[in-house]
Amino acid sequence: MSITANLAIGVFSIGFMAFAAAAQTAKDVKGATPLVAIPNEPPANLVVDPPVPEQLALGRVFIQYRTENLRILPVFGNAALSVSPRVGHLHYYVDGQSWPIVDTSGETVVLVGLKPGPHTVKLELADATHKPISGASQVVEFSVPQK
Amino acid sequence: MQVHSNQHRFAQLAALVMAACLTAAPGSAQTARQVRGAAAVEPIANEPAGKIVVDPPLAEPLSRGLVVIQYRTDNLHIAPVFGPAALAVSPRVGHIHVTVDDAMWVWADASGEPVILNGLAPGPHKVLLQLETANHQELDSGAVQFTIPNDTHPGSTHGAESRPASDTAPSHETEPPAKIIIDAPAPERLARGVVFLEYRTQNLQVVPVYGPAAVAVSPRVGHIHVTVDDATWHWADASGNPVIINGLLPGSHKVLIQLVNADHQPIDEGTVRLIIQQRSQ
Repeated sequence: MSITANLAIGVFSIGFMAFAAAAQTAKDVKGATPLVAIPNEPPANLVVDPPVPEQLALGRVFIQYRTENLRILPVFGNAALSVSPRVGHLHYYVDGQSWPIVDTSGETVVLVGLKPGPHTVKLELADATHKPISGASQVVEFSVPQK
Repeated sequence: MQVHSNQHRFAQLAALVMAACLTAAPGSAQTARQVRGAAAVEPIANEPAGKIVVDPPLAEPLSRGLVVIQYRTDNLHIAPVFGPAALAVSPRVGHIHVTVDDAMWVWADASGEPVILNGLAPGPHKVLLQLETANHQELDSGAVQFTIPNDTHPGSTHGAESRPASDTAPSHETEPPAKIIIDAPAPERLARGVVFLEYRTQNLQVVPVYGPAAVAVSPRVGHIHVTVDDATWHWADASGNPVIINGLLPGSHKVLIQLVNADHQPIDEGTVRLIIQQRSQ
């Protein structure tokens, strides 16, 4: 491939990357509408951000997350396993606790008042029967500063 | 762009492929914050302007006469929080107003879920989504225009034409029937021309979960359909928030709220009749 061609590709891809956020449709960002079933929906995925740094510096732990191919809703039971698009919820565990905190809000996980020092929070997606979804779990490690 | 050589053609093709890759998987590398915006618990100084991005109606449902309009917002969390005090909330909160076919009236939606309309007559239509502050001032808007094809059957999921819910609700034999209880319109708001209808349900959780499979979910799930003044069409709402309509002309009006199962079959309903007074200003 010639230099001209490479250059053209470079310019095009930079252009598209810069443009990506602005050009994204609602569907790109929010996922498929819940109104239409999705045959063979891809596996659920969990994306977890590190705690918001400015807030962590103040001792507040705000962990944002988002899901792909799973909607967080307070809908439970065996029958809900067949619902499409997929529904489920979040489990999280603080500092190795053995039992999950169940959250169906889809909102940022908020932990305020943790002792200064290192902590871990494990987040996992669970299906409507509370079974953890394989591959949809993340561990966040952080340190709460001394006051 | 003119294509002068195979080399250029190849470059163009390669660029298109790369662009396709970039647009096909934009979400995978994006953090939760990039996609969802700032956490609602974290105040933001000098937040940029609120914006709305409205997608065209989904094609396949539209071919059946069902209008599903997805939208997303930048720098504004959609939340059922209203009033002047909420203008100071950071990050910004707000909601949308929806107008169909240049009607004088709008309904407010603070669910963040897609706008869903069914039963519109065949032909061209326009839906306007206005992004509003918590105190109902417009920040941005987006409109979509679309055509309902002729060969659909408006109202086929609406009212008496539908199959009774009991035909398809096998797992609810032990669960008491679902009911909707609608309060009278809030009088002080009605005096200002705003129809504010609170409702609650019994033996049915209002959630945006749809389809035949969801009919078997127990406890039962469903949503509401709202019809104004005997229109052929209704909108669907799965938020559980009050129904809020503003701008109806002075005179008598009728709002039908149907409680439907996840597959849009009516279970119960209530009709609110109200009078909008002529306003002095």
